[in-house]
Amino acid sequence: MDISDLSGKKIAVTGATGFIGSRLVETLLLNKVDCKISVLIRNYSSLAHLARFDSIDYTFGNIDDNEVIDKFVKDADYVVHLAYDPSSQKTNINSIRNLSESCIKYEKKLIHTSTISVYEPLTVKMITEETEYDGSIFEYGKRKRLIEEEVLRYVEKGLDAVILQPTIVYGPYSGPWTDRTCYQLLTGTVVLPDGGSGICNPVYVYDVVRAIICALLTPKSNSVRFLISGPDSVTWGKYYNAFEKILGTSSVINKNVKDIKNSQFNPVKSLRLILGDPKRAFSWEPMKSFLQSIKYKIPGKYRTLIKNIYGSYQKIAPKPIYMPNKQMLLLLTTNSVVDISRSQKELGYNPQYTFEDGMKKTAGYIKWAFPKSFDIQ
Amino acid sequence: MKLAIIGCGAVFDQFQLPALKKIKKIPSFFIDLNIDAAKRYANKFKSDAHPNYEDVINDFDAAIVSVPHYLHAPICKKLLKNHKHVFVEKPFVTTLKDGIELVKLANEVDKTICVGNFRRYKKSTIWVKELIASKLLGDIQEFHFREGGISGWPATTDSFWDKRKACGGVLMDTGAHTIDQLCFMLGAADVIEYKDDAQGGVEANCFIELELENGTRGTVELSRTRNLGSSAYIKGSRGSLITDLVGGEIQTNPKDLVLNKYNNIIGNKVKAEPYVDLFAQQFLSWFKAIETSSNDYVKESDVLPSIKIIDNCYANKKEMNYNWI
Repeated sequence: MDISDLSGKKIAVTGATGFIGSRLVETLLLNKVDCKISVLIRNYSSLAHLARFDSIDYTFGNIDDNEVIDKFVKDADYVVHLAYDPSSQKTNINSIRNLSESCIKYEKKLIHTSTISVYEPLTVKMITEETEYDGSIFEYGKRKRLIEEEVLRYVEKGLDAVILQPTIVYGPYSGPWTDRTCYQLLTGTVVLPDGGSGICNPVYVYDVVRAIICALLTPKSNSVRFLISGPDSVTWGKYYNAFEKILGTSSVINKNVKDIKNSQFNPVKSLRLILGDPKRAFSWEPMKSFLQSIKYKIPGKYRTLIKNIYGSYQKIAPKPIYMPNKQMLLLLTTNSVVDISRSQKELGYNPQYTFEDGMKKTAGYIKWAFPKSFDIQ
Repeated sequence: MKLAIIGCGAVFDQFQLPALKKIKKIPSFFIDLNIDAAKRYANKFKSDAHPNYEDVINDFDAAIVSVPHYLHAPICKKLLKNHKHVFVEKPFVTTLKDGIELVKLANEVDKTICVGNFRRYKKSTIWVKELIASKLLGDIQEFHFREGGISGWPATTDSFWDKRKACGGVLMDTGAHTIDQLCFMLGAADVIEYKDDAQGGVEANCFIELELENGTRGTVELSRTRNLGSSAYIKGSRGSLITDLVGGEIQTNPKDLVLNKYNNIIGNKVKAEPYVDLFAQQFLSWFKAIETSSNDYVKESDVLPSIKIIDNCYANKKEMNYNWI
């Protein structure tokens, strides 16, 4: 992969304000690749990462607006689709349809970033792109799978597309797999099932960026879906231990699966868990979907009010116990390893960061993003 | 007194308008290039809407200016030259040169410029300033200010992010408050080192090392991408304190220092004041200054030390490198 091969190209990115999108744009611009970046934004509220640069073209509009997408795609050489709207699957489906149609019309390559969650629950020993989908019980994976199916339908009609399925993406600004992990370890007790012996398939975010660039530069291949993971797998125990070491905490405790399941159904224990971590009350899938669907419909000032009330409550709440919910429990107890040989062979993807190397890099970010509190004693 | 609102964006909608309503002061003019926004408020309050303040400059006595940063100085100049009292949102101006010029002009025309550094009205800020002045902490030996949150400001235009319009990032925006609080509590400071992560655009993170007049050095860290909270740690030769710059909580060492009472404020009784109340307080003090020549408001010259720091930071910028890329 030679990133400079993107010189002179125009790359259109949706979801560029998000975690992976920001890292992709940052990588291209900090490496002084002489390419043009064009991003689609729906509002002006989350541009902190992108606004650091002065050479990005902004298109303002909704991702499910046909006309906006048509122009956005027409002007580009490649399209990288990272946007995902948790509040509306209709928007997700409309946007992938619009993007696919415009990419076919203007003969542009589409890189769609999906997730390993489409294979959840991970039950087989080796996850490959051919692993059967059992109709995931979890909303996120199910929705992402439906979006993938749309892409595949358009591939049948001639779309040049690559679907990337990253695994556990950790590193700077990773909401679920770095920031939340640190937050939980710093604020409460994290419960791991069965001594943390389950398998984690981590990938450093800049390896995911590498995979996207490989996908951009690779000529059309026979395959469409590609799993993207790091060069090694670790146990979840090792994953949490690496964070504990950086943070200087000892917040992980082990429980067997049976006890964890019991606590999920014991009303007294559940109440204690909810008091410490109220977000847990909303982890029931239908409730979670409902809340996500109304999240962006609540006016900003009420969202701020809710945040403030939650912040005040946290000051008096008991120390949280972060007990895995049903989905997390399955993930933490899986023994599945991810096979990335297809992406290595067909995309030339060559992950650079073992978990140890990636965490060495992430340590710098963690120390910077989670500085020690001031202490006057 | 006829009041004009110049700029009907997010700050006006979320804080200024509720504050004006609270003190029952209804503006006579709502002015915004986005005439629909101006009309929306004008219709509600049976006032006039205009796209350009110059069209009605002879019809009002005072104006609240909350427009993109780059317009602060030119609009303030024009208003003062037309003998209007001015309230301008923070940052007062984007360069020290403009600040000095406006201070001079306000004196010449004998009109007020009140600056929206409303955190000076916070009880905790006032209490900390008084504690430091009382010398009960002894000589200041160290200080660290930290403020950051993941930015979700409901900006309605690109003016918050466009370098030409915003004239800076987190330093110019959040820093205008944080550094002003620092100067208010500890006095003026010189910039020893400044680093930020802007790459031609506006910075999301910055780090500043400062030196107080007595030679004490300390730091300021600001962020739009990290949840740093908003706190200050100040260490003196006889004690230390931590205060929440946005909330109000104060902790001291020795512990009983926080029981002291200054300006009728007891340190451990301070609670976070709603922003709207602080906005209302600053408007009231400004109106009082206009009517009675009272000196008790945040004047343009008060905030010049923080403007000087911001100006020096940008002039001496070094690149902040991220070692994880």
